[in-house]
Amino acid sequence: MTIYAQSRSGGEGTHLLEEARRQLAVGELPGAIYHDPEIFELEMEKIFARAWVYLAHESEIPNAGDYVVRYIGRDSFILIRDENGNVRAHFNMCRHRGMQVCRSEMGNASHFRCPYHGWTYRNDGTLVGVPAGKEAYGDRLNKEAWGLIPIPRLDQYNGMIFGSLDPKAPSLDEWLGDMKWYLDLFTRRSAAGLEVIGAPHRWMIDADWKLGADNFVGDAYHTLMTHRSMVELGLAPRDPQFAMYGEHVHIPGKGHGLGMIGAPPNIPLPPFWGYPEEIVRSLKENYPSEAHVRVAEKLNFVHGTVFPNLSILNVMIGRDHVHPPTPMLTFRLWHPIAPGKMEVWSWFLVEKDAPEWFKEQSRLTYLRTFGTSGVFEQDDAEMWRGITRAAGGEMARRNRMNYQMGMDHLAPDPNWPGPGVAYPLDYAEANQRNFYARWLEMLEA
Amino acid sequence: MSRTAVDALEILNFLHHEAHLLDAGKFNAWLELLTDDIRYRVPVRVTREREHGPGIIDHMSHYEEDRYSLEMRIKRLETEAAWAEDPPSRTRHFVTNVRVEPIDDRHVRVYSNLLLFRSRGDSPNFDLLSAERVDVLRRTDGGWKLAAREVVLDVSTVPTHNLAILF
Amino acid sequence: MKLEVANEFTVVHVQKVKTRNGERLEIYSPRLGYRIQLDPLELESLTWQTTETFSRFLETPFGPGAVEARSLSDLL
Repeated sequence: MTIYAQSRSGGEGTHLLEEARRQLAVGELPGAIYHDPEIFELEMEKIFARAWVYLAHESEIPNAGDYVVRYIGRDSFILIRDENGNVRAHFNMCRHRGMQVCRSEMGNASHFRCPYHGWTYRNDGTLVGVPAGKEAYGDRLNKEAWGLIPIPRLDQYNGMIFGSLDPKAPSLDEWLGDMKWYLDLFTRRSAAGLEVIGAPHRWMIDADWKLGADNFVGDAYHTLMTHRSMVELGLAPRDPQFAMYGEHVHIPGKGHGLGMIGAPPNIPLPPFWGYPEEIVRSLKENYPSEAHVRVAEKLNFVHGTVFPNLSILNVMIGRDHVHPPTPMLTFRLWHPIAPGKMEVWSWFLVEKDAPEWFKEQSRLTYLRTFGTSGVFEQDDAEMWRGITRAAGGEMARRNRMNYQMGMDHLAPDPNWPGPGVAYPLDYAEANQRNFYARWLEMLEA
Repeated sequence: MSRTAVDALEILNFLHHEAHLLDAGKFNAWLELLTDDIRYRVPVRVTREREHGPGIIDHMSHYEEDRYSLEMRIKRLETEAAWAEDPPSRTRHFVTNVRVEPIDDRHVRVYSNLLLFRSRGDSPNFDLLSAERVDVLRRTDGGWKLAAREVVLDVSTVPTHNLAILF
Repeated sequence: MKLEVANEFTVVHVQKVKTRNGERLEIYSPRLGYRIQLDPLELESLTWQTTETFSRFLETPFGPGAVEARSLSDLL
């Protein structure tokens, strides 16, 4: 498929992706990438049919038969723990006439019975029964050949379950690469691991999925303007530029990136995000290296994106304007639905063995700040909608957007103890440039 | 009129007045209608089989508020950076099917259906949210106050881009 | 005490029933109309079954319902 920016936009017909590649070399991108039907189709085919995409946390399906229904691109999967404890993902489409086998969002089942004609599958995907098998098929249907189709690839890292539609995808290990070092910071604070509380928030935004990924991969800069109301009310530190004081880290070639922010000058903040002493003790025992402990000690606000569309936020913020800030952790998926339209899936997670009082405070902090009604989240949605609306017209093809922050004046930090390329200031857009370089590479493959 | 009929009329007026304050952007006046121990919750719902009831998730909510957090949300709207609602959405709360159930001398439980219309910017598109509200109203010296509200949305995936609006 | 056990595929009612001299566990399927009363030994024997056993039970997903297949022309 080729994509052309129409010549009616003023120039001669130029390949939008070629244009994007040319511009990205100098830290620019055409505005139209956020709302273009052909780009969207290409993303479905070249990225979402090939990438490792986040499906669930293992704590969402702890027992035999527990399942949740999850999506990659337009495809629905039943993610289930089978009777032998293995996690499996079956394409949610009956082999007989294609009905969705599971219609609940979650449940528990040892077998699935399709509501259309009753073909019945064991939860490991095997077809075990068909109604009137003798009369309808003369008992000659080869059931072994007609099981539910398994997802081509399924793997997990520290309880984070990912799937891929591409049988030839590199391993998840390779896909995540050095990002694993950073995922350990969130997922290995306790030997008991994390648990998802309740079910994810799900909501629609008339906005391109990349805007969520872009925001979390490296955009500390928006905090001073977009989230100014939170600074004024004291839910965030009372320095509008607080998010600048951090390390801006990306994994070259992979598209992943994070901002690791500590206390701003003259505003003392507690070490280790302000986690209660039980968790601080446990992270010192469980982190895989001394460097993890040293880095975590300085952290208060961490944002990041695992390419393509999983973002992570681990921050200490206020649940109102009265109580002191509490750390909380959320995973969120920017699930593409249509050009200029995404569905957000947002989970709250906390250490399984954290004190109950802390779990409750952390949960309230999450849902009031970054859930559907979250007082930070809601202002982001307003921005991403506005961008997407503006990006749908002719002029957006000509609007060369600026991704040049830190490009010429900021040198990598030679003293950073973690892997990847780190800059000593989170007001930078190296992570975004790395994200879009990976995006282009996959679209052009 | 009987005491019950008077109460019912007062309660209906309370719901309509409250809806007016929200639609007119008079949020501080709305806060004055809440008790200090207000509990305000909009639970997350998931699609479940009929036998498992309405699919309400106990431990995750779109809103789970107390007096402090509702005040915080209103104070936020008063800053100059509440972009999500400035310019404000045009909202209309349609309140119907009101049923009142006595609890004790001071409290009644009030069920109502809510259709919430929301329009933003110059786009002709709009969002609609339908819900059942279950309120507890308390009789005080200053008239009826809202002591608890649970809003059961009629959706699983929320069709609007955020819940920067109140039910 | 009557229990209801349900998922998105079906629902069953389970209850202890008294016989004159003992008791059994009754499982009833309101959708298919089948009913079985199992004694403790039968129930115990279920505890060492594997999923394969139940997969075999489910070879006929709506119950045995064996029908003698006759053509319409036969009936005319």
